Amino acid sequence: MTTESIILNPLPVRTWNSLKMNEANYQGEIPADSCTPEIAKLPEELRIIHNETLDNVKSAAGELGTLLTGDSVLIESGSEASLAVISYDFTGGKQARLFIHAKENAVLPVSVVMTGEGTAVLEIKIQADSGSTVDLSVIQSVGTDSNVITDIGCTCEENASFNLTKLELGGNNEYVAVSVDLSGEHSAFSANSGYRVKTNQSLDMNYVVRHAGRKTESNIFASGILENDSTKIFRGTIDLIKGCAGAKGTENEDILLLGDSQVNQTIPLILCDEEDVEGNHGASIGRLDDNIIFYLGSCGISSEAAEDIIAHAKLDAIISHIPDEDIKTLAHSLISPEADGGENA
Amino acid sequence: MSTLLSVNNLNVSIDDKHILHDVSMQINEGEAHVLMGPNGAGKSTLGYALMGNPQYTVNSGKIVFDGNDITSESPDKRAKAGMFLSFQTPLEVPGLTVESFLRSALEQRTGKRIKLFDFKKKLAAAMELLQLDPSYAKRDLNVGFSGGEKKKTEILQLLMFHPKLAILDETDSGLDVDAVRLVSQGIKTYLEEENGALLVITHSTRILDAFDIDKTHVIVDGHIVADGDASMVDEINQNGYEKYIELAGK
Repeated sequence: MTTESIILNPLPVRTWNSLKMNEANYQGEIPADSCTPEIAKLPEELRIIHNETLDNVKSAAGELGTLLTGDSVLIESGSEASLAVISYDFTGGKQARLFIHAKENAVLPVSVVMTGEGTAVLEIKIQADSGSTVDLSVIQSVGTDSNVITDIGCTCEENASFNLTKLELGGNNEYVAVSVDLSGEHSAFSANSGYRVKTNQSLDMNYVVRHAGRKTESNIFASGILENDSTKIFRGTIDLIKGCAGAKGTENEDILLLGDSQVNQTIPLILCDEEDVEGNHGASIGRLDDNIIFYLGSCGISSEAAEDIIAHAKLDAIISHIPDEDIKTLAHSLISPEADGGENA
Repeated sequence: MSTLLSVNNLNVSIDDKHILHDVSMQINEGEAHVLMGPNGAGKSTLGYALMGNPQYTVNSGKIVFDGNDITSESPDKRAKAGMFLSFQTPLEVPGLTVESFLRSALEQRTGKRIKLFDFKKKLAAAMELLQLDPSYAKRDLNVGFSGGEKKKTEILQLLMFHPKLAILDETDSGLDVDAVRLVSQGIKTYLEEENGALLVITHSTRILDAFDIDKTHVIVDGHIVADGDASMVDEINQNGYEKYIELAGK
């Protein structure tokens, strides 16, 4: 095992160094061993090709790319497919590479479940051809002592859509990079990210959306819970490139603080080189309102349980975006009190 | 009938402002009491203080419920002991569905897992009684609800939780005639099925037509200035609070 020292999740345009938000400095293992996917559901409309990649999809993960040399799987569809479910067990420390190609007018729903104990590195690259839709849900439930790096990239052609639902439920230090190129006219991206960063854990996110096509639309929503002494940084970049007239990009964060001493950093970045565009960002952060604690308390719910219920409700709202009932059930089971080992189990 | 709630010389303040002055009352099991008074008299403050709202400070006095001194207990412990407060302005809780909230609260109150089938059956029956559309069970608690729907959802809680004592704070305010009728029906069902006790906080009397009143208390300027039977309600309806305001020394 070799320890790497690399830069992850760089901001596309740097800000003050003193803020220490320009990038993440990762020091740790990048496993070379490949993780074999377990394909739990594979609709017949899909074709699987081993060790083939998509090379023209960008990454927001920084220097990770050169270290991703493991086995890969490409799944592709040229029609409307039912859900594919792929599980990765990263036990022992592994890397996995998944490529998804939705051909013209195809509909391709894919759910990815990440489990195991050990450093987990997952690369997912997507090519959405014109008129296609890719619905990707990624549930990260790797062991809480592990480093986890997820690098997701997508290129959308004309009228293509990429919908991402991402749940961050495990890992000790987690890095998430999402890069989306809306290169075709009327292409769209939506992301719903839910996370619960537990005591002494950290989460570093870097979402970059480049609007190149006219009337493209992006919507990023990150909602999560920060517990005692946890650390989270969210970088959200909406890049409105010259020529993307009529484009609209929105990013919003909603953060619930439970306990004390959290470090919460948010850096919304809207780059604009076109006049007829719209870029929005918003963030709400806070503790659970005393009035809500009393309201729920008057019904018999303790303040600790109230915090837990509201925290789960936030994640439930993200889970509701997962299109498949079985995966929803799995996600619910992972955020249940039993999974938390909490007193309300 | 044994004493369920005993309030003894309760003094309550909020932000150093003294609101309730030596308030005392006693509610026996199965009794329905009414607390009336003009606006700003301290009616809701008493409801909040009884339920343990931490924004209100009990300076002196004692609250004994079901034989236990609960003056310093947290709201959830009071609820688990069998108390319930229906809010005048129910709060919206985004992200928490009515169904999920009720089930969680029931499990917390009883300390037991509730079987989903039994819960859903009970919930459906209570919603039907209140003519609440079943789809509301899946909606976020009070979010986007009309005033009437919020009040019905409060009474839905009353029917689901089976408290020993329900404090209803201005439950009929802002309701139309039909909604008052349905809410009253819910309260009547609670009284009949649970032999529950009631403390109805109100300054109108529409909701009081649905059930028999055992005792009436009038509060003015934080003082209980009169106690009596059900006839006091009619008397106040006819003559207003003027004489009670005089009694309070205004």
